[in-house]
Amino acid sequence: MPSRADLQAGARPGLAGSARRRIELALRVVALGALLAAVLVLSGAFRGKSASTNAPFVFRADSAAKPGASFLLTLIRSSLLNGAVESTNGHVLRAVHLLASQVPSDTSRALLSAARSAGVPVSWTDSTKGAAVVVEVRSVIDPKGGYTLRVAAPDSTTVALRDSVGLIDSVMTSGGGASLVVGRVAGSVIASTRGATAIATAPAPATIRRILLFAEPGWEGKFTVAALEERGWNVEVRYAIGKNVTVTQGAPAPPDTSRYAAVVALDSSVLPHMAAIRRYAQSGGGVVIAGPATTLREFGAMLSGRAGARQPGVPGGLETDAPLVGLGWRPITPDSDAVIIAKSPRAGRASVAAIVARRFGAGRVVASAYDGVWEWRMAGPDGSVDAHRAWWSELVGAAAFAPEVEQNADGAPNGQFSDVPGTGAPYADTRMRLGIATAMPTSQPSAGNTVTWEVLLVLIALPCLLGEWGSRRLRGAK
Amino acid sequence: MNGSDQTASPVGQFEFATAQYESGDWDSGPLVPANVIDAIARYTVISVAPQGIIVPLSSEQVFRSPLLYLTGHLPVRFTPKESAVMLEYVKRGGLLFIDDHNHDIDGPFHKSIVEEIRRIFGPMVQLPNAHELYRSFFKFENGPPTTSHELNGWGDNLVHEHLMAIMRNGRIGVLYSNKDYSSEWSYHPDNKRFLSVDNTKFAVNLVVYALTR
Repeated sequence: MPSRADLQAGARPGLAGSARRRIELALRVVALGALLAAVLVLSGAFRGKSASTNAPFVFRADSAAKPGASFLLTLIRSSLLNGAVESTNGHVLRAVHLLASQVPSDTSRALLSAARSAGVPVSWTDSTKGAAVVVEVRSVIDPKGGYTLRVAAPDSTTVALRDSVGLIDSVMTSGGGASLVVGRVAGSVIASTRGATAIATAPAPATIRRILLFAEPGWEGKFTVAALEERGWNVEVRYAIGKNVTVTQGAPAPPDTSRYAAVVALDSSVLPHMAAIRRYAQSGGGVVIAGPATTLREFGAMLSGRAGARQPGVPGGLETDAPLVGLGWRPITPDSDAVIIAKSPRAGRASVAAIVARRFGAGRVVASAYDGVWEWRMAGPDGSVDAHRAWWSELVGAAAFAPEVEQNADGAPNGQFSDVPGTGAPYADTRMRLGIATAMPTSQPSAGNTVTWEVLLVLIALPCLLGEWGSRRLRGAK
Repeated sequence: MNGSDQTASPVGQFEFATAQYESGDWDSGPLVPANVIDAIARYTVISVAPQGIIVPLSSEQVFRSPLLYLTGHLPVRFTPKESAVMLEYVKRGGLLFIDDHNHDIDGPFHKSIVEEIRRIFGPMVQLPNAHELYRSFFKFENGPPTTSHELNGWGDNLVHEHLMAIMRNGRIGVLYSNKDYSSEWSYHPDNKRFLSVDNTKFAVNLVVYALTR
């Protein structure tokens, strides 16, 4: 229908007016076409054909507030919730690349890990300049209590350890880690180094049960009991002292994990109880075999090596910095599956050990080659009484059965737990979940900077419509 | 009894050690060790050396003998070195058994040794007659067994009902007797068969206690 301007101007428009109308028509067509295309894009008609949707989304771990990152996380979340990773709101989740200048949050790691598990390739570039660090807190099995803090990190890394109260200490790693024994820990332990942190919750103190000791009356038995009792262990003893005569201390009962943390055998007086001790070890109990008892073949598979002939201590050795060389010993040739806990400087290049351990059933058996350790306490230098106590306590603790976490009535553990797996060591968790870091992929648009097709089409349509409308108004048409 | 080197004995063997000190007459009970050793071998399976040893109280050798027997008649005054060694010995877990060979609370040994013990270790306490020492092997329901010297009215003409002790970490560190076991056990072991009751049984308790507590 002609407009009023058309009617006033006459029946036939001029040459310029005709060209103007054709331009207006073209603008109208372009605008309508762009709007139609935008509608089609929004409706998903061109899904899978866009070059940009084939490239991985990139987001930065240190820009959680930026639209790109939150957009991607929302995308992953909704994709996973919808059960499809290929289509959500018109976007295709083909791959994800993480640019990490700091360790991503546990939520981000969990979502990326979930996307990876759902088949979406996930890669990452590590620019955190941090070191992988893991910390573990374990109760020391000793009546004096305490905790062992074990840190794993690359060599020559200084790791600061702190708890809820403040800094505990710092350690330098070597051989892949370091450890520290502390008396108390308040709350959680945080290990931090070069931008990486790890956290671990201190477990409930270990349950310390009694020790059952078998010995003939003599200095070794007497001073072993004394050392353990002075350290705080509750020791029950059976001394074989005469024909069918046994002197007891405490109320020794058959070995059982509900009563005893460990059984200590010092000599052949243990022989009548061998079967019970074997059952005890198989059910999880700890056994310490020391001195002459290491030569008893009746222990069979419980022994983790073969004890040799007794060698006397080095004269004057007790007064040195390594007093154990002053003790007699029966060098143990360890079995292939034995764990060597300690070697002796006297062994030289020989493949013999002073203290070895092995699993036996559900329990642990530790064997010590040293004989007459009491001489260390009585004839050693200043401080040897404390050292003797600590040595025996550590030896027993290495084998002892000591359940760390007791269960509540509802079955929930009293001690550590975390909301998200891997909260304790986020950097290491990132590496575990996302794999080894790679270089930044080339020509990959950032999700935060992507200009989507529908926006582009709308941007085309709007000036066309404005131009067409303005042209018509200027020539007086509606 | 001789002063043999401790390291010459088989491993784990019990050796009865007599303390040798500079003042007084430390060797006043020469037959006691043999008699105690005989009793140990007779009643227990404890591996015991056939001869006792003499250990100078001022030497580090003391620390290789966790039970020390000390007796005498004469006044005692320990040297600073002896005092230091005794204190450290008890602190580390050794048991020092001191017996008054006079059985006389007015005697020179008793007066001087009690003073020395107080100076080195502090005051002694009365050992209860229900203490495990009296049950460690044989049972002595009434505490320390009496000696013939007590019953015959020799010395101070008293029957001492208790032994005295210095306790360390719940164990006896120093055991002191006025009952003159040194005279009671001072005879040749071969003559033990003439006794209706073996009077060295308490020595077995003493050794077993020292080896197990």
